[in-house]
Amino acid sequence: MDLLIALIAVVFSIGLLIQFNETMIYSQKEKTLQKELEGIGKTASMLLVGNPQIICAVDSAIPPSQIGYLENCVDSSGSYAKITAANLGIPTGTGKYDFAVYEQGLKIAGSDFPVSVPANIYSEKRIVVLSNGNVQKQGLEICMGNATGSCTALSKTELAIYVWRA
Amino acid sequence: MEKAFFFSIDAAIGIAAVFIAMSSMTFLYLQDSSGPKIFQSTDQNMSDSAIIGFYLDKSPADMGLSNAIASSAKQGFCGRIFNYNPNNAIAGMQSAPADKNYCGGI
Amino acid sequence: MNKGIFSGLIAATAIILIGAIILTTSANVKNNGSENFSEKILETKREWNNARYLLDKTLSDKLADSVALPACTFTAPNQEQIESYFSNTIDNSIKNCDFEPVQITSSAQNNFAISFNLGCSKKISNDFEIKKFEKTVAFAKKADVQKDVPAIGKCTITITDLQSNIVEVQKTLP
Repeated sequence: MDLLIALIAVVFSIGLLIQFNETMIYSQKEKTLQKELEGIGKTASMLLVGNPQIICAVDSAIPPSQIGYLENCVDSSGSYAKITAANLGIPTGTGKYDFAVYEQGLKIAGSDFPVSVPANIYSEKRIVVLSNGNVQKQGLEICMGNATGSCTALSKTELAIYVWRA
Repeated sequence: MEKAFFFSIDAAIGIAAVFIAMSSMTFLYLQDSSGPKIFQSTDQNMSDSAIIGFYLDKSPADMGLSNAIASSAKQGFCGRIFNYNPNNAIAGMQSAPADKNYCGGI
Repeated sequence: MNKGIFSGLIAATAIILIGAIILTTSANVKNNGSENFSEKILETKREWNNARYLLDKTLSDKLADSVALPACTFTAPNQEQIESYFSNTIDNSIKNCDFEPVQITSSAQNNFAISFNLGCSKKISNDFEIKKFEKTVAFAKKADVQKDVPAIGKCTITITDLQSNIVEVQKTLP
């Protein structure tokens, strides 16, 4: 009788261990996916304010016409047409990722949140300036306080980028 | 110890201890908060503020920050930017870059 | 049978079980911290932009300082003189940037133009450095010098940035 109980207890314990292992593996997989989401999200956030495909180009009054780019300046021309998944380095499609960018609570790029909200959404806020198209160096110098005049070339705002698993 | 139904009480206590330990570990380990996560790293905010303050000629105070980390802060970060005024009053002497720090702490 | 055998069996199973749990837990995916290298890259680009701005203004400073007084005559600076000013600026600001030899593409007083390569890097740790962010930079300035009264008057120096048409230096000196 004692032997039977002992054996039952041992078998039960082994079963418990197997179940625990399964749970651990699942948990590890979830953490891996979360880390992957975080990596993609961080990169997308960096590209939003640093990718020359998205940020403002600076134009000169003399050739060469374009003399550089401004980090943390987002080109809002064409209704923010430059903010795309490709320019943010986000792999899209089934089983991949999706994104949205908001400015002062309004969606300016990307997709709507899915009806069933994903378990994890990576998000960051970035302080930026906006410019409708390229920035003229003269306009930039005025905004920087190096010449008299009111700053019309740039306007300060906050963007929020959200990335989730599609 | 006296022999009980489970052949000994110590074995029963041992089993109970193992199960309690396992359940606690599993429960603690698998805890996970659900819902969207909003993340704003402290140092990113300062770096962003520094460059925007530079573009728009705004002081740290204008950006809601200070020019140094408060001594009471447990951690902090500064975004730093340099400016240069070539219009110095002294003939023949080079100007020096001037730094501006946009600092915040928690 | 010795009743101790069953207790021993249970105890051994418990120990194996706990050991297996510890092993499984420690084999968990490590949080590698992902030091946010992407932000360091962005930081390097920002520093490059700041360095470019500083050297842009430094050139105007040098041109203004290239006016001889009291004669009020402008002499175009040479490569070494410009690089000396540039080095002073970099040494006192963004130290992880450097520039390659400056080329004077035009030394005319009304269109003094230079170009050079500006590069910035960043060290993450003793063994890891972000690849240099390097680009060619070009500046163009106009230097005006006016003596209000020939031979004895004050000298007004005006340096205008041709890329923005902004007056960067305007001073009147005895």
